[in-house]
Amino acid sequence: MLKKVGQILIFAAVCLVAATWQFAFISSLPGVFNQINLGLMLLIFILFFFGARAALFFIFSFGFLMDTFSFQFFSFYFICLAVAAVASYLILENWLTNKSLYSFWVLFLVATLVYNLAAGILTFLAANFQGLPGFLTFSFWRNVFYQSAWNILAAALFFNISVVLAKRFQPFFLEKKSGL
Amino acid sequence: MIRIKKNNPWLIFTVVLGLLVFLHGIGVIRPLENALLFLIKPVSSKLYVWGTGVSSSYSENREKADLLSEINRLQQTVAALTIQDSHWREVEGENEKLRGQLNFVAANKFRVVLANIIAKEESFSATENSRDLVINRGQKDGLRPDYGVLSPDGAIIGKIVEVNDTSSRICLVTSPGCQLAASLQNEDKTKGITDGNLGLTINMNYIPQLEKIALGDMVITSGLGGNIPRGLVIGKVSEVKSESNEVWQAAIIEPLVNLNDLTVVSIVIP
Repeated sequence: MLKKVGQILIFAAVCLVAATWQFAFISSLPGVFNQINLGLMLLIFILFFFGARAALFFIFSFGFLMDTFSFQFFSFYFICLAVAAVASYLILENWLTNKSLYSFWVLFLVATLVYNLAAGILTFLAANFQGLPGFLTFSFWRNVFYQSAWNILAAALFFNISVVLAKRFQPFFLEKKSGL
Repeated sequence: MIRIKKNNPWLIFTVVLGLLVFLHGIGVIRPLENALLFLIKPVSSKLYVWGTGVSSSYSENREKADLLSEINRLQQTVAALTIQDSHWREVEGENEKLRGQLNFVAANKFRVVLANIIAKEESFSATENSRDLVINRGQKDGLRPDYGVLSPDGAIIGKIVEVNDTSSRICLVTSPGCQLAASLQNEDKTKGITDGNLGLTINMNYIPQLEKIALGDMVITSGLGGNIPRGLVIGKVSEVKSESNEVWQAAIIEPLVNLNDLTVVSIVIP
């Protein structure tokens, strides 16, 4: 029981640190660097390696913090992260293995696209349909491209670290025995 | 028939999310939210300063660092002197008009609240490069929407668009949709409304063709609209768009301060 409480506290602390960095530091970085989406990276990482329950818990913690810090309407980050998680989860469950870097990349790309589409649509709805929806503009797709590039890099990094740390991803080969 | 498991995590998530939104709506979790903001504010402020430092050094060319810093220093001096000059011109003009009415100086003495910028708010809207700033002061410090925000040099850099208990969101004068009642310091004292353009410059549209605008004319707040006092410098005219067959002309205004390097601002309490 105590161990579980400790795990939850550590998880919440990680979320607090990540949300603070995303909110204050990454947002103030120049050019392409402010397109790093730490929340989305961690979400897909958790979904891929620890499953849907842990991912949902992450959405709660990180989403609540971002919704509290940010001036977007409350539940904006919850919804964007949840939609990205659902899309990634369905793809992961039905079509992909969770033991391949390529699967990891596909998940990241899908999650980035879905997250940004959700964010663009929600902003458009919240602004009472004023102006153009975000996804009809060049800047939207440019940002999706930058985010995807960052996420692909992050995925490669996360995956290789995991390969080193866990046996789950060790490659195995069927050896052809002589005489058969 | 679709059967839903009782302990389905997605279902639990949806229910708890709904509950959380409801509790937020009625304000029950506001103390928790304020406590979290209070907890992260000092760290956010430091992180933002770091980020801005990285941003500044990134944008500078290393080989020309000395030259750039000298240019920057001179630009800052010019900006400060131009602002000062503009203030004096405004004061002089007002003095002539009001013929020594004693309450004029009092009218320009406004109270300010200093604030640290703690983040840039990401915008997912269609407008490019429109990132609002978040400061560590809010309703509890007496801030309200539409109050003007000044740079350390005294130029107006934007206005408050949204306030929470302990933080506020500021739109920059260069952000589309961030409008200020403005006046040109030309012969005609042309009045109009400025609006941000692509996060880079400021537009002043719908100026009658007969009004004379020159490059370098200073643009100040007109004081119309209530919460922002008259005479705060917005920028100077860098381009005039005037077609003889058009009813209106437009001016493009350059802000005098670098809006990307700000870490501290002051809010004018009218």
